[in-house]
Amino acid sequence: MVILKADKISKKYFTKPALTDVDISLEQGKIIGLLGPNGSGKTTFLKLITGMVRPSAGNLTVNGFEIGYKSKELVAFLPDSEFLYDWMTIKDARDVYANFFRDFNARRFTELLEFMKLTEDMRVKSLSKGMKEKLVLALTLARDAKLFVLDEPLNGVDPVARELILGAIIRCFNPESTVLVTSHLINEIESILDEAYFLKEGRIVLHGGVDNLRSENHKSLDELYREVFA
Amino acid sequence: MIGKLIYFEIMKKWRSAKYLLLGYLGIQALNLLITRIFLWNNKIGDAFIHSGTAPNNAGLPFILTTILFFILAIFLGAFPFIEGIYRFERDLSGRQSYLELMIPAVSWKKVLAKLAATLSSLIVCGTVSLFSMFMYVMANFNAQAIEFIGDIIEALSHDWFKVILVVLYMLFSCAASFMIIFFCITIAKSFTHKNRIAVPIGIAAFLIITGCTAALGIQLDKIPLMKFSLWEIETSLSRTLADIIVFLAAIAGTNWLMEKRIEH
Repeated sequence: MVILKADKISKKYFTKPALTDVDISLEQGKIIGLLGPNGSGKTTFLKLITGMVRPSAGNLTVNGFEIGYKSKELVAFLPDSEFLYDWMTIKDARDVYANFFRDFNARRFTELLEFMKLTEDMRVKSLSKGMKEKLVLALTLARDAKLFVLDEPLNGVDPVARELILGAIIRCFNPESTVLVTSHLINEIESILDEAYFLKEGRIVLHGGVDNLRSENHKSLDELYREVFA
Repeated sequence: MIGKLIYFEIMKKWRSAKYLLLGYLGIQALNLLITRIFLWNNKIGDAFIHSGTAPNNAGLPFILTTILFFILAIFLGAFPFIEGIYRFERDLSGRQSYLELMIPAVSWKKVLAKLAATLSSLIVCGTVSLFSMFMYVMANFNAQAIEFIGDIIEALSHDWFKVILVVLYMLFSCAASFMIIFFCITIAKSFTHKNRIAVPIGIAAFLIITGCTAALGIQLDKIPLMKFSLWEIETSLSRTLADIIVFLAAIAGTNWLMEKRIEH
């Protein structure tokens, strides 16, 4: 079953193209990587899916819905920048998510917090960057969403935290949903991916199942990434 | 959903303003105490007359404390207005706008929730501000001033229906003003998030819209449908209907821009 369908999606910022004729189809039950260097259009594509920006051309649907408030109910988004209010405690953040997202699973959130070694009385203001990343990941993964969109979840966190974050993604992965994740750290993320899209200068230059890409090219995904984007 | 949105907006305002409100109450209590010490025997005139032997001669400190008291009270009354505009702008383009845009609700509900929270904040801060001024007058001025306030309250109490109408009219006027400002901010943000460009666009939009509504009001006053007055407020049914239409148009315009044009 197709969860996300992007048909000839283009996005321009004034005259500068960020994405050109991007065709992506994401199926249920897979973890898919959107890989590319800085400025390749990864974040723009994720913002399109989550309704933060609008396409200049093309069609984009999530579970058959055009992007709008209905699709937002189906998509759990982890942005690449901090977005929680400093005055919030972790409990406040949980309450906000529980209030606004009907699919928020409070029990799973508590489990994830324990897994991430965080407690509900902690203040967002007092958390380190890595802890904030873990918190927003826990909030995102605690939803029973159809599509999880994770923008650079490993950015700026130490290797131990990276392992925890990858562990949490695998732990919460549900075969009825789909995970779309971007990262520069191909080595770290390669092991959890089923499929990969390589995005270069706003265009998809390579796509396939990770096992196929490896066997066809006799290279690891990391080596292939270096070859494509060198 | 709208109830949850209003709760969230009020919580945001409370969390950001609670220390300011507590600080205000603390400073004003101190101000009140200082002025009471200067005017222990309730003779305000003694504060300004230097007799050489008068124990309650306050002079400059009393004036400064009084000025500070009223400046703070006015600031508190104006705070929800400033904060409401700032918060709306930040919610559209600030760090937390991701969370705002992520919430699965139609934009007009989000806008109405922000408006309701801003009006609530205006009512709370306005009441505290007026009450503190009342307290000051009660504590420091002579019986005539207190009697005068008492007379006003008594006059008002004869016609509660009119009082309610006037309060509703004033609240609606505030809501309409806020809504036009929100609309102008949204127009500006739909062009760019860079404040260097967005602020002049917003101000220009505000001037154009207020100019147009004022011109419309003048034209409507020439052919009033049904004239009436709420105390000193002279208005007509046609003018009131026009105000309601402008208010609804501002909500619809803000909703459309947020749904179709605003980007993160």
